[in-house]
Amino acid sequence: MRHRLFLPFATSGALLAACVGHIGDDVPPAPGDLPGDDDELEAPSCDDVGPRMIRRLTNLQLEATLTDLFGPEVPFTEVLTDPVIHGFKIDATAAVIRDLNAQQLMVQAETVAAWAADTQLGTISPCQDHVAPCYRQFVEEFGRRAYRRDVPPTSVDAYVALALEETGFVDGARAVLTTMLQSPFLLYRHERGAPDPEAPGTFVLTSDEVADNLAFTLTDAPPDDVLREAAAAGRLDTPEDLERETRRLVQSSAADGRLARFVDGWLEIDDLLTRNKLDPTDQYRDDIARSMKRETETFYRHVVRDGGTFADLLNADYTFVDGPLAAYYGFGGGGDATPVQTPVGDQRPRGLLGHGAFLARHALADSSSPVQRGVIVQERFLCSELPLPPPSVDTDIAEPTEPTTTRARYLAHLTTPGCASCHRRIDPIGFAFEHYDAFGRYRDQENGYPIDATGELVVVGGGDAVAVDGLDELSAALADESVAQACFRSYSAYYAYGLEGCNPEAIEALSGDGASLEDLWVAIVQAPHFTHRR
Amino acid sequence: MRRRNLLRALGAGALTIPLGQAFRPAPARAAGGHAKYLFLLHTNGTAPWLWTPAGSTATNLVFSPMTQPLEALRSDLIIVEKLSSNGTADNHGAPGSLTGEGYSSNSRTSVDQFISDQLVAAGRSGPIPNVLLGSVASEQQSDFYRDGQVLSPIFDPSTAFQAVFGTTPGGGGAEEDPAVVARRRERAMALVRDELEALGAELGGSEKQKVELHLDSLRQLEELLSGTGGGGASCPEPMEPGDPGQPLLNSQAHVDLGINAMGCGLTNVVSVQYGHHQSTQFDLPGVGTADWHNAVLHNLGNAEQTLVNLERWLAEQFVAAANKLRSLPDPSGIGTLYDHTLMVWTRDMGDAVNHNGDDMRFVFAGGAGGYFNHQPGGVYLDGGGDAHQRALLTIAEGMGITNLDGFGDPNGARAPLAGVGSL
Repeated sequence: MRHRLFLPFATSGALLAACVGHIGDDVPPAPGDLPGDDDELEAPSCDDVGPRMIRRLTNLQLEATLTDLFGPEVPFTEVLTDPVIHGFKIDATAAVIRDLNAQQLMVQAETVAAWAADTQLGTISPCQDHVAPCYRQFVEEFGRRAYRRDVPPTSVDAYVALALEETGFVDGARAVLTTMLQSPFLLYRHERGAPDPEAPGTFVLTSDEVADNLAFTLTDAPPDDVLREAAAAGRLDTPEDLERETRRLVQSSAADGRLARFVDGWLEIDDLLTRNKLDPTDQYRDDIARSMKRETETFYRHVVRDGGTFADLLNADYTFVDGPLAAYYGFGGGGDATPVQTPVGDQRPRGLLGHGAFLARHALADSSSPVQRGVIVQERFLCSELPLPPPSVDTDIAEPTEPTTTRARYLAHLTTPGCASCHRRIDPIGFAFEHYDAFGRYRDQENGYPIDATGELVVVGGGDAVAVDGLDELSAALADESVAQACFRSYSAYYAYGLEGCNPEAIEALSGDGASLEDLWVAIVQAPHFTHRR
Repeated sequence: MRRRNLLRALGAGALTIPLGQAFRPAPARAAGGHAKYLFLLHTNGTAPWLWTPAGSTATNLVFSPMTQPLEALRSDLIIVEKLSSNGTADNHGAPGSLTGEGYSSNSRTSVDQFISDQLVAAGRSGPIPNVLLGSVASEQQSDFYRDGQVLSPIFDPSTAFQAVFGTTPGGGGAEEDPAVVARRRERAMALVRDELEALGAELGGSEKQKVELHLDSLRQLEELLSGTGGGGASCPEPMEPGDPGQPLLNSQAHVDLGINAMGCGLTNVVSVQYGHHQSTQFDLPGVGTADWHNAVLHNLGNAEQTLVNLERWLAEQFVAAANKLRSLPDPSGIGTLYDHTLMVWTRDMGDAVNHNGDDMRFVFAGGAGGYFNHQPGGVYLDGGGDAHQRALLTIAEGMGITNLDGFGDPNGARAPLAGVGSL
C-alpha cells in the first residue's frame, strides 16, 4: 500500500487559505506519477510491464457489456461502487468486488436472467431443447460473447450439468445466464496472457485480451465486431495493428463518452451541475452549466480527432457553443442546442482554461477563487504535490471592511509569514483568471475597482517563474511548459491503464512533447504495458 | 425486491403484530452490560467554540444552540470533548478519526470494521456483518478502512436498499419455491467459486487479493442465504427509498434503511457518513444552500449561522435515528432496538475550521444494553487531551468486545475511557 501524505486539492480551495508547508520540497513529479492520496490495495508495480492482472468492470462497462449481450432494453441498475481516484472512476486496483457486492451482483444477475429467459432466448440461443448438446452449444456460443473469450471446458461441463438440473429449457437457460452474469470472466477484464516463448518469465496478452483492452480503454464497452474479427484472425498482434484499431476507435462515436469522461475527470468538472451557485443575476442556470460541460467535452473530442496537440487544448482560438451558451458568452444570439465551432474572438479567452465549466467549477458559490484555480492548475497541469495546511492555522479569509477585489483579499497570503511559502506558487496563477467571475463571465472591474490579472506561473522542477497578464498568457505559458506536457501524458496514461507510473519513458519516446493527442493514445496502446505482463 | 416477496420471507403474520404491543420490558438501565448493535453516524468536524455545550458538568449538560436538539436525548447522552488524535486526524481526509492510526500504518481498520469482525468471530453478527452507507459519490473516500484499504460506502439509497433487502427468494422471477431458488443459487455460486479459485491460483499480489475479496464476498452471501436472518416480530416493512437528490438527504434515507436492517435481524453494525470532507453541496430548508467545506467551514466569517443551522440539523438526524430505534422492538422481543444499541456520533477531525485534531468529540447515546453510565442530566466529559483512540476503544468495549488487541495504534493508549460505561 502506498500512502502518500497529501490529498488532492482540486476541490479543497479555501483550505489552503493559510499554510506554511513546503510544496513537495521542490521535488518535481516522478514520471507518470500523479499527485494525491490513492488509498487502495497495494497497486502492482508498473515499472516495466506490470504483473498479470484482472480489472473489475466499472458500472458503465458492465452496463455496456449487458447491453451488448441483450440489447438496450436490458434491466440494468448500478450496484457496484466505482471508487473515485484522481477524479476518475477507472482505477484498476481500487475497484474490487467485496462485502455486499456478491449479493448485489447475484440479485442483478437473477433479474436480468429472468427477463432474458422470458424475452430473449430466441435471439441469444441457437436452440431451445432441454438436452445436453443444445445447452453445450448455447453455453459455448453465448458464453464466448459473455466471457469475451472461449469458455473454459470445465466451465462448459459445469454449465451443462447446472442447466440439466432444471425441468425445461427456459429454466435451464435462466440458470446458465444467472451464473454467467456473476462469473469472474464476465465481471473482470483479464490480462493474464500466455507465456512468451521468446522471453521466459513474461507473458503476452492473448488476442482476445488485447481486443478487450482496446475496447474498454477506448470505448468503455466490450469489443465490437471489427475487433472480434481481428482478434479471431490474428490481426491484433503488431504495433501497426494496434495503431490501426486505436485510430479507428478514437475517431468513432463509440469513443465519445470515453473521451468526454477523460476531460471531465482531468479538469474535475464532472460534478459541475451539482455545485451550488448563487448568481445574483440568475443568468447562470442548470441549462447553462450543462452547455458549459458539453462545450469542454465537445472541444476536447474535436482537438483529439482533428490532430490537435496539448498546446491546442490551451491555445485554440475557437470553442464549441450552443445557442444559449453563445448568448451567455456574449457571442450574439442564434443557434440551437447543438454545439457549433465558434471563434472566441476578443470576447473569450483561448483554450479550455477559459471555458465556463472550468471557471465556474473552480470557484466559490458567488465569487472567484484564485486559490482553487491556482491549485487545480498546479495539480492537473503540473502534477505538483501540494501539502495540506498544517494544523491549527486559521484558514478563514479575513472579511474586508469595505468593498475591494478578490485579488486584494488573497494578496494577504503572499505577505503573511507562513502562508507565502505555499501560496506564492498558487495564488499568482489564480490571479491570471481574475477577469472571469464565479460563473465564468468576463468582468473588467470588481466592486468598482479595475481587474488586475497579472500573475506568475511557477513550475516546481521547471525554469524561472513566468510573468503573465491574463488567461491567454497563462495558457500559452503552460502550453510551452515541458513539465505540463509530461503531466498531461501521466494523466492520459493513468486514465488508460488505471495504474500510475506505467511506461512513461516508452510513451514519451513514442509520443513526446508536441505530439498530437491521437498519437498519444496510439503511444499508450503501443507501450509494453498494454500487451505484455511478467 | 417486491413487497410480496419480502412479506413472505419475513412471515406475514409477524408483521401483523402491533409494534407497541410486541415489546417486552426493556433491559435494566443500570450500568453493566453491552450493546448488541452499533449505530455510528459520521460527519465532518466543526467549529468547536460554537458547538461545545459550554457550562456543562459531569452530571449536567448545558446545550449550545448547535447542540440544542440533543436535549431530547439528555438523560441518555454522554458527550466527550477535547480528545487528541495525536496527529492522525488533523486535516481533511486524514485517516485517523475512526482508525486511531495515521498514514504510516498500512493495516489501519476503522472501529466499525473491527467491531464487525469481532462480532462475526464471536457468533454475534447478523448475516450481513456490517452496513456502510452515505458520503458523496463523486469524491475520493478516506474515512472507513479495513486492513489498510479504504472502503466506499454505498452512496445511492436505492442501491443500498437492494443490497440489504434484495436477497429474498424469488428476486426477479415469478413466485417460486424458496427451496428451489436456494438450490439454484447454491449451484450458481459453486460454479462461480470454482472459476474464481482457478483464477486466483494464476495470480499473485494485489491481483490475488482481489480474487480473495470476491471469494469472501461470496462466503458472506452464502451465510446470508443459509442463515436465519430476516423476519421476526421486529422487522419493519422496508420501503425502497426514492431519490432525495442530495447527499445529506440520501443519508437521511440511509439511516432509516440501516435501522430497518437491524430490526430485520440482518445486521448488527450500521455506519452512516453524512457528507464528505471535501465537497458536500446542500440545499436544505431552514439550513441554507452552500458547500459544507469551502463555503461554510472555511468561510465562517460569512457562514457562521449556516454552520449553526447545519449542526442543528445533524443533531436532529441523530435524535431522529434514536427515535427510530426506539420505535422498533428488538428481534429478541426484549425491549427496543434502542435499548440494545450503542449510538455514537463521530467526526473526521476535531476543529475543521483550523484543521486541528486535538479537539476530537464524541456523542454517545442509546441503551447499549446497559453499558453506559448515564446521568439524568446527561454526562459531559472533558478529555483533557487524552487520546481519542480511547473513545474508539470505548465503542468496541461497549459492544462487548473485551480483547481490544488488533485495533488502532498498538503503541497508543489502549484502555477505553474511564467512567463512560462498564461491562
